[in-house]
Amino acid sequence: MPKLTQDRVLGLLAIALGLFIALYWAGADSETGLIEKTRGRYSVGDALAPTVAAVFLTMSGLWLALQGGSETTLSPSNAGFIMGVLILLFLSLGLMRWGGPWIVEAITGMEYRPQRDTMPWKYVGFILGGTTMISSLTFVVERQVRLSRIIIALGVTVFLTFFYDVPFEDLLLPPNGDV
Amino acid sequence: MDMLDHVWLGILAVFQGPALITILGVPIPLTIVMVAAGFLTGVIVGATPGLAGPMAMAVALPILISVFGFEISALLPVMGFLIGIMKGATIGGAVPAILFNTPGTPDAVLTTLDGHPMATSGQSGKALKVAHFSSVSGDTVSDLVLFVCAPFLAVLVERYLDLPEKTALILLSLAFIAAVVGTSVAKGLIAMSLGMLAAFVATGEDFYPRLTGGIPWLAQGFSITSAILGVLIVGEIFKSLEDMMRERAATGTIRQTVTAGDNSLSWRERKRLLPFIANSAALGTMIGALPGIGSTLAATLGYASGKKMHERREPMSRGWGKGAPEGVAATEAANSAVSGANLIPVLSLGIPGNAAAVFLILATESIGGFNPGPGVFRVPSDGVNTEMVLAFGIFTTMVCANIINWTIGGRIMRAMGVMIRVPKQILLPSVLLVTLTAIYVQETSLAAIWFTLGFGVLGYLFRRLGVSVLPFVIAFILAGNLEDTARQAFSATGGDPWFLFTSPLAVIFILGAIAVTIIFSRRQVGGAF
Repeated sequence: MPKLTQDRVLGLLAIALGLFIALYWAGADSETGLIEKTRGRYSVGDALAPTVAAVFLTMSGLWLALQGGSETTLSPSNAGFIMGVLILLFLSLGLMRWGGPWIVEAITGMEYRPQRDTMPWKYVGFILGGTTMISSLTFVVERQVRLSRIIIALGVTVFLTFFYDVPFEDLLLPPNGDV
Repeated sequence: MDMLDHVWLGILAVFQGPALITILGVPIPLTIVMVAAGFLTGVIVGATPGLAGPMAMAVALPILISVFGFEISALLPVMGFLIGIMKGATIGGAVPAILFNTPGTPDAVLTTLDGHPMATSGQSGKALKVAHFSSVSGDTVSDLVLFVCAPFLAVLVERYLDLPEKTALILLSLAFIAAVVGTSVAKGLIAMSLGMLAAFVATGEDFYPRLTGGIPWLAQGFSITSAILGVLIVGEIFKSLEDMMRERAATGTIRQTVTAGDNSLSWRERKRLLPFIANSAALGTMIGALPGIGSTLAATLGYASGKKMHERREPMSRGWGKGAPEGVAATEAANSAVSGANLIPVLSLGIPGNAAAVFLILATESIGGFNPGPGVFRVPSDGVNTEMVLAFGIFTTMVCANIINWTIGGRIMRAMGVMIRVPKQILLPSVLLVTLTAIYVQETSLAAIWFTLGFGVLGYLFRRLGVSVLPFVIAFILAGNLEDTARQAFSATGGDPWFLFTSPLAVIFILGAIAVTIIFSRRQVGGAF
């Protein structure tokens, strides 16, 4: 029995996804089918292109599964790393999204939306989230927390804030287009 | 108006376009200033380990569009800046490779083989001069080929390719990129299929957005910026951060180099380098004209064939691989020659050949009014073809970038050794924030940031699984074009399901697509991009 390498697993996943899309999803989630006949003329339906791409995916997966290929390097520690990074990014972007409204409400008692184009409130979320993003990722790489990194991260974020906001009046920093 | 009139109008569009400032009554054209600024940015980025030209282009594009808007008048300044980055990053990449043995790109690995031994023996100045001279020579040759071949090829395409042939040609290009780039043809085809599927989400001709499952936030589909920047840039940042984390224990202090001995590059020495440069420039140009192959193979072939030439000649100073200036020249001329020729498929067919070309296409799609493809070089029977004028304007910006490169590029390049001191562990998270901010200011939606991170994770997984990201990116860009052309071809042939096999040329393209996948499944080249 051939060894179940990561490449073979990838091939099998591609086959499964390709068959699912080709046999079910493309047809079920499109308004028109593969080929349509309207007023006696044939035309291509919306389901055809995804079905063809899914057939390519299935065939490529089959090729990879049969070939086996070289042993690739995705390990549980890679999965742990990317999960950790995503948690930090969710935290940073969460602070970016809700940090401004929380602080504005706590300090002024007012809603954030009317203040989102007012100095300094319009920068609060971006600076909080951006500083957290840069410093926390630096901590992960260096495996230590250093005040100097927080200061640098703050400096970079403040620079970016003014780089985008001061010269370009019509640009909105995150999250001010969503709140 | 004939083609020469369009050439002249293109030159005038650059030099008589809007002026940024006036010095002593002489207006300084905005486009020229943008080319110079882009070139400087490119050299800085190229000289910074961990950064690359496409990253800077990705970050710059939304900012440029915010500044210049979506009007057609924005095209030349924006393209000028991006082309400046592309050319600057090419020569900048040699700096860390030569001075500190830290190649920023796969092709710069070959530059380290002879460049770094030269630097450690006190000839860092000479090595940088050789790299600059060879790089700018290769780039200039490649650009000249582009200027001649792109219009010629476009005219041929326009004359001989109808809808079925164009559909088959796009399929051939996709197969070529999937087969040639990366470590496995099957993986390249998987990446290509996934890129097409991602592009098909919420597109099509019907009112209902397909493949969205009725989810409202998917109804607009994935923006091209989120998909491309996510897979190309964010995925690379995730991987690099992890690599740095794992190699942290191995990192030491920055190695200093000394400058002593002969650091000049005489005209006699330049003359002796010319055969190596010419050989590599020809190889790089030929490889660059084929979509998807990229500069790594060009650098490898240039270095290998340079080695054979070197064995037949009396060396300038040292043995091959031990600090031979000819080795630096062969590598740098080859990888620089790819950049101009890579625009041949972009401008004549609308098909991007590498990551930098992807951002040039993205710029034209964002701004509008200029659609790369055979129509660009169509000579009108009456009046002016604005797209052709803009194309020659773009060529003019490339010439300007080359002139900047020839005159002051070397000095800027040699001054950039200081960029090695920027810590990557701070730089890459900063680039991530810049990228996400740039996407937000363009899309004004946090959903775009979430999509970008999602595509970033996909790009990270691709890299860890040895799947090249370039077939995904290029398939994402070409999928809509492929579907539209196929729809029109099907309708135009009266609903013939065999429309791809009705003309000999289309059959040749389809057989070519099958042939490249079979041939290249036996030998693989390339890397993550």
